[in-house]
Amino acid sequence: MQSSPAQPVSTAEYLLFRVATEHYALASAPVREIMRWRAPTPVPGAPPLLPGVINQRGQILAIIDLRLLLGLAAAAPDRATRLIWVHHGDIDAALLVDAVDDLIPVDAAQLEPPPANLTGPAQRVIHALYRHHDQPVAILDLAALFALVQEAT
Amino acid sequence: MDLTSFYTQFRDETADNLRVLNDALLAIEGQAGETLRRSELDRAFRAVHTIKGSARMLGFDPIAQVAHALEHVLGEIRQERRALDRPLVDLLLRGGDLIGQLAAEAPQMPAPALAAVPEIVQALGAASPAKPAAEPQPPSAVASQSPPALAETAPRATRQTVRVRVDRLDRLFNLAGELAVNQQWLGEVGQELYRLQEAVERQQRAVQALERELARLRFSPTQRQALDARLATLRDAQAALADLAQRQSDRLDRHLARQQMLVKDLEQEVMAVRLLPIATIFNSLPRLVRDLAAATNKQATIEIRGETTELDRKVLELISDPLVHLVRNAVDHGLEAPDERVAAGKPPAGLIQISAEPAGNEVRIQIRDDGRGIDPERVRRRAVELGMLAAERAHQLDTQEALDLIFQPGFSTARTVTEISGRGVGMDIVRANLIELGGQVRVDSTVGQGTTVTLTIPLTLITSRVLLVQAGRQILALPAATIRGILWVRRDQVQLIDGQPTIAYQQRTVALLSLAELLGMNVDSPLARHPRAPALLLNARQRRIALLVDDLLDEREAVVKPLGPLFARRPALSGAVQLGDGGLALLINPLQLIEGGARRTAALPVLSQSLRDEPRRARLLVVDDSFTTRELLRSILQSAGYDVTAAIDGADALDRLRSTAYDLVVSDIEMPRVDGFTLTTRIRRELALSELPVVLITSLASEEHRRRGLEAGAQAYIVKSQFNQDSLLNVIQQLLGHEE
Repeated sequence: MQSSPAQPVSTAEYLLFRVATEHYALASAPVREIMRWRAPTPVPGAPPLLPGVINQRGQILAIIDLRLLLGLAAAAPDRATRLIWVHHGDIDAALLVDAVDDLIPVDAAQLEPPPANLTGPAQRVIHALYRHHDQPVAILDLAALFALVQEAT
Repeated sequence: MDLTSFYTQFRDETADNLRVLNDALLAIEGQAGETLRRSELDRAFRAVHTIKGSARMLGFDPIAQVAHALEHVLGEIRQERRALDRPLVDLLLRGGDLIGQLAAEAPQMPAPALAAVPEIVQALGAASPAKPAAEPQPPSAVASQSPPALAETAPRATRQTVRVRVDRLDRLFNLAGELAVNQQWLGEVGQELYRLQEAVERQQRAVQALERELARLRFSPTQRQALDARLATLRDAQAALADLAQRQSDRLDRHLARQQMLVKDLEQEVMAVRLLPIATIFNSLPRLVRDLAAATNKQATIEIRGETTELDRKVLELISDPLVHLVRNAVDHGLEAPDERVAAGKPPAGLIQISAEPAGNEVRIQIRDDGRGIDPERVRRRAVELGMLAAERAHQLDTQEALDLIFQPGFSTARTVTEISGRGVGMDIVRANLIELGGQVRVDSTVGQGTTVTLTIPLTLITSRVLLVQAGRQILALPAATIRGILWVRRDQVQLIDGQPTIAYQQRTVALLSLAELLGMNVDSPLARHPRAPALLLNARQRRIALLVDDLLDEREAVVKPLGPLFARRPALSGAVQLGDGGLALLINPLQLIEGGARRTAALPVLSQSLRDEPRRARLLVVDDSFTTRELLRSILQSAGYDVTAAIDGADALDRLRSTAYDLVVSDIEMPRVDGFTLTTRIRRELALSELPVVLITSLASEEHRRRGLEAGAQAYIVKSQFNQDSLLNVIQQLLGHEE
């Protein structure tokens, strides 16, 4: 396994999804499952970006509304709305996104640094940019994302 | 070779052996009997010998050196070439402690501990007489021939054991819990089948009535024949349906009963796997008491009972620190100095008693000292000085309530009244830990005679008993252990004291808070929406608080699942429980909620205005085992504009009363399972619905029965022979009118 030559092919799978009209991606390793939207049990006193919790096969998942997290306008869920169960460290959560598009291989060499003009939450959670069919895709850093949510609670 | 697993094992094993060493040394010190002394000495020797052997094998030389020096000294004591006096016990204990520090993170060893090795080894060497002994042998014959580690484990080998990772056990637990929830769901299916049977029964009666009607009508013979044929088919279908419903219901019942037992067994077995004897945390206490007494120039003996009592390992982890706190306080601040004790006519050595005993689904742990006790008067004064409450309020507190003040955060800062300030150290943390476990803590004290702290802890955390309530639009769960009782609050009973809604209950003032509002939900107080609402009387002895909710839904065993780190800053949210339909209810710890939340008032906005709102239809519960009477009453009351529910007997009625709020109960007396008298008594006593009007309707006309009915707490007693619609409706109207 360790016998790869000096030039390792560091390709990883990324999950491609949409929030509002923007394209985002997340390394697929921490993704557990993709689920259809269902109404969560609201948690009184929680910030709007945490609309509630769901029970997915015995695991309680807090839903994180990525629109609100990224500072975009809220939207009602529709048929394309998906929940992405992600696991990082000791946190399990479900990311609320507008649509899940694809699973694509991404070569680490092709990742670009994020644009310098990002501000606010986007600046903290977007850690790279990738061009997929000439579309810019923002790659999210899950650890930073969870840290941001924890600050908000 | 990967030695990691050996290191882990070494650390665990060494910790065990050090505990044996400690115990044995302390036992020898307090032990006059030669035989016992001898056997304790052997135990200590074997423990040290094992440590030495393992340390050598793994190349932990500093540990081996210290163990060797300890072993050497113990060997000489066994050969009676030295006396075991107090300084020597101290030295041996210090040696054991040093090994503990060295082994704690082996193979890494902390530098200060390493630096202390030569000193200890030298001190132990100097303590011995000149003659350097040959390698001492472990005491038993077996041990002298086989490796020491084997000798240690030999007695245990008869029962095979496996080490299992805790997360696997947790998973197993979770599954057992899920199964229990599923079982509840099946129970609900069973209830549906009962209802199906009832529906079939009603249909059967309707068909019979139809037949009778038809029999009275005139038909031509052909028509009659055709009708009879249809009716016969209908009857057959009816019979088949009734039979089928009955059989399926019975089958499900039997299956449920069997499965219930299996699920219970499984839960218990799974639970037992995680249980550990409380000795694992009690073992460190004798040493703690000894060291503390020495440090404070006191004399103390410790008595431990019930160390075999078993508790969930998670529970043990959480109570370990509180227990140490409490024992420390007992010695440090509970016990008096020897001369003071003698002056008070007590023996010079104080007695610390620690006991654990199972009590139902709980374990009770007591820490008792025979010291000076806590003076409630001084606690009151201190609390007033600290600005915790007004002086006059402090004097209204009874002794128990005054003692409970020491659990208030910040009480410990009291420095001048030493015995109290000491008690205060960490007491709020002790309580917080216990609340987290769903347990409780209580202090009893008699001035001059001592103090007893009682911890009550649930045996296990696998399922908890929860109360499901409706608050605003949400269903919430609360741990049953946090609720002392339920009271029904009518609007006109609410009194505002300093703008805080309160109610008088058992001659006490109870503050009324709205659960939904405490949680920050944007809804009116339940009393703004209903004329009467249930309130949960909290098990918080510091303050009398009742939480208003909209409705009581159920009480059940539930598997509590953690909400995860994203909600870690909300300690009042202690998890979520799964409902029968797969949905979730948040588990709220009301005690944490009260502690955390600023004292907000359960506002009763525009109370006078909402009182004039359109009256809600009164909800009546009709209880009668006779189908006919039940339906007759139901139709009379419904046409009089009431919202009517029927129960088939007293037991059924109690179930319904537990889950739903009713405004009045109309009940028969003679019924299977629970009769009308018992029902009335239980409504008053168990459900604590002292105000709920109960009307008894019966054929028992004797004065004796009337008296019994009224004694049980019924407001009215109507005899069937005198029964007419109007008198019943009048009585009900009066009783409800009185209430509104």
